[in-house]
Amino acid sequence: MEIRVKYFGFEPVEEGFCVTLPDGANVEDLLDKLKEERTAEEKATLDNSTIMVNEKKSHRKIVLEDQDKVLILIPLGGG
Amino acid sequence: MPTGYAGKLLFVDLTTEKIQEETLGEDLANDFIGGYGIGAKILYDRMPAGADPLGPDSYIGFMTGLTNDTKSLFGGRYTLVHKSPITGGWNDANSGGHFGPELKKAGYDGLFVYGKAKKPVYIYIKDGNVEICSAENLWGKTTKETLERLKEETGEEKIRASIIGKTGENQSYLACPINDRHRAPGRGGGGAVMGSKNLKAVAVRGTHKTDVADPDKIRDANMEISKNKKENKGIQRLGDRGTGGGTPSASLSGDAPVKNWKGVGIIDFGETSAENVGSKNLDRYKTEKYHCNSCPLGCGAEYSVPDGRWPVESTQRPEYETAGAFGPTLLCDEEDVIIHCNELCNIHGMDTISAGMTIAWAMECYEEGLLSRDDLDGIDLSWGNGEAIVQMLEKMVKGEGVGKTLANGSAYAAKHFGKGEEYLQTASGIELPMHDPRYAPGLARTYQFDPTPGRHVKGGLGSLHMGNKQKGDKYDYEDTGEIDVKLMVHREILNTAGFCLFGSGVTPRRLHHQFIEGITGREFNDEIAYKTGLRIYIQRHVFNLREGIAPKDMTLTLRAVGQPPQEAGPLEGKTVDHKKLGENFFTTLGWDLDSGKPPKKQMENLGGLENVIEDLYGPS
Repeated sequence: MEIRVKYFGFEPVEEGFCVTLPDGANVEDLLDKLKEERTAEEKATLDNSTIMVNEKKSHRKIVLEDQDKVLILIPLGGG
Repeated sequence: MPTGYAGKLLFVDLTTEKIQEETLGEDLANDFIGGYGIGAKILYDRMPAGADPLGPDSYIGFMTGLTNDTKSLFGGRYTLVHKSPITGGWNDANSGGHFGPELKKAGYDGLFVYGKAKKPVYIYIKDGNVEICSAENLWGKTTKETLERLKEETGEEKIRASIIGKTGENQSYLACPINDRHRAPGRGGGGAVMGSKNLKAVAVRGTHKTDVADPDKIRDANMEISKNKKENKGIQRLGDRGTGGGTPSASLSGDAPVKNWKGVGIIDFGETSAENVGSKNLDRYKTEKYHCNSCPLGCGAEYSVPDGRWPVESTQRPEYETAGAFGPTLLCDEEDVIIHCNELCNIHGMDTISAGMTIAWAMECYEEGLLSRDDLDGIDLSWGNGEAIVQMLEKMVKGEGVGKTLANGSAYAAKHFGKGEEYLQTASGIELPMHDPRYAPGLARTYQFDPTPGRHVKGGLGSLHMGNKQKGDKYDYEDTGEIDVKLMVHREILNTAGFCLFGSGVTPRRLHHQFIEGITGREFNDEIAYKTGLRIYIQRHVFNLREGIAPKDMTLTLRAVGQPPQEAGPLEGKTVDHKKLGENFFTTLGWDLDSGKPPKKQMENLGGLENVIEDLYGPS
């Protein structure tokens, strides 16, 4: 299945892209895929992010469906 | 003279025009480090209790940080200290740029001003020479115009100055001075205090170099930070986009308040609007990077807006707090409005956070029919109406019409109109900043009970929660006291040493201590840091106690802690137990919650608080 993903505050910033995942995959599986080839610091940042699936806050075990839209909101942490 | 300091404090009485230097004592430096540490000690000792913050008895201090002019990376901030006309209690606010290091190079660790000049003046300090100069020709001019005039008058192109604009001259409570054209100790009304003294500016030029005890120690710390920075993409991102790079994410995650704290970002503001107020969009006007003193990051930027509704040749990138206050908080996604509001606040000297938040309060009052269009001088203050936001802000910064009332903040305006108190989003009367305790619950304790209330830059558990870096559930309120106190104490050290908090991601606590040791030559381990940080916190706290403000008197409006909780969005159902967070914090400190008095034994063990002990417990 294809999941539409968009980062906020993370590269590529605010540009959507698609990720292919096996049926039955959940948010955690998506994050694991997104963490590939990321540094340890970037992986930690993704772990600390707020995830919205189809405009609703999601926890890591939510099972995704084809064409779901996932927003990954990186914590600002101050400023 | 303590090593690493200029070694002198300067006192200027504007009533008598008496200028006096005092040697900075070893004990004062060791016990209170610098910045608001030394500032709190001096104001507690010398400013009369109950003084009108806008009266001649009040003091205002321009305090360097210990790290200023020591080549310590991220060590460029100075702090303004005074009694706040907004909260009636202690106030400190800090600023980047170059003013602090220049003041230290000019020969002083801090400048305290009291009294009131008969006519507008500015204080000019050049390498230890101090003059009180007429500012009659500068009164009414913007901060940027004034800076250029000061350069001409003094013949010093490299002069640095902390300057008020029209807002400060009007003694509006939301006024702040501006240094380096766009850096500001924005919060708490320091610009009004300057205006009440007829003090247009403090201008400084220095060529001295501060001697440090161990330059190698500082160099080694700098090298480690540089290495960390190369490996940290988050900090590089901050350098590239500035704090405003995070505005879209925060607008949707629940970190940034939306629609005067009652809205939900993903529903009321939306993805596209969130993107519009971020640096990626605003940076289309970027011309070059801007670095504060000793900063390897450069999160600031110069902008030029060639056309559109509010063209301006030279302006600067709005910070996250500013974009949040004029963006999602007002449901405004027009980038030119945000850039122009930022410029208006910078040239006239107004706190962007309180300005945006006060307009948000007025918008909700307008929506609910408490304030009519007539009340608002005919302005249609509907949510997201960019033109109206600019019109209202112009009135506020210049003190015109209803803007004169709103320029004193939302709590003042609610009292003035006799309505709308239920829509205030404040801590002890000052508007809340752009980080929501429902998202970062630890902030509720900091906002409500820190001696300088309503600040996101004060320490505590909230700093972990903002980055989601806590262990376990951040909405679990058991046993929060120990970590909350530990983080508070460390932040006291960072702030008083003049460090920028944005460097913390690449500067572990160990290196902060190494810098202090390298500068001063004295040991600064975890135990000393804890005692010093707590001593400084107590010194700020007892200033408030003397003004009749105990923790039980400090307030936080309830929408910010989810009472009632939001019904949708990422913060749905979240309620923050701010009372429990406060109890945990003060119980860990061992303080009496009712009186707010720190125990005598604790203060005796800390040392350096002898006069406080006598004031609270009588002579021994």
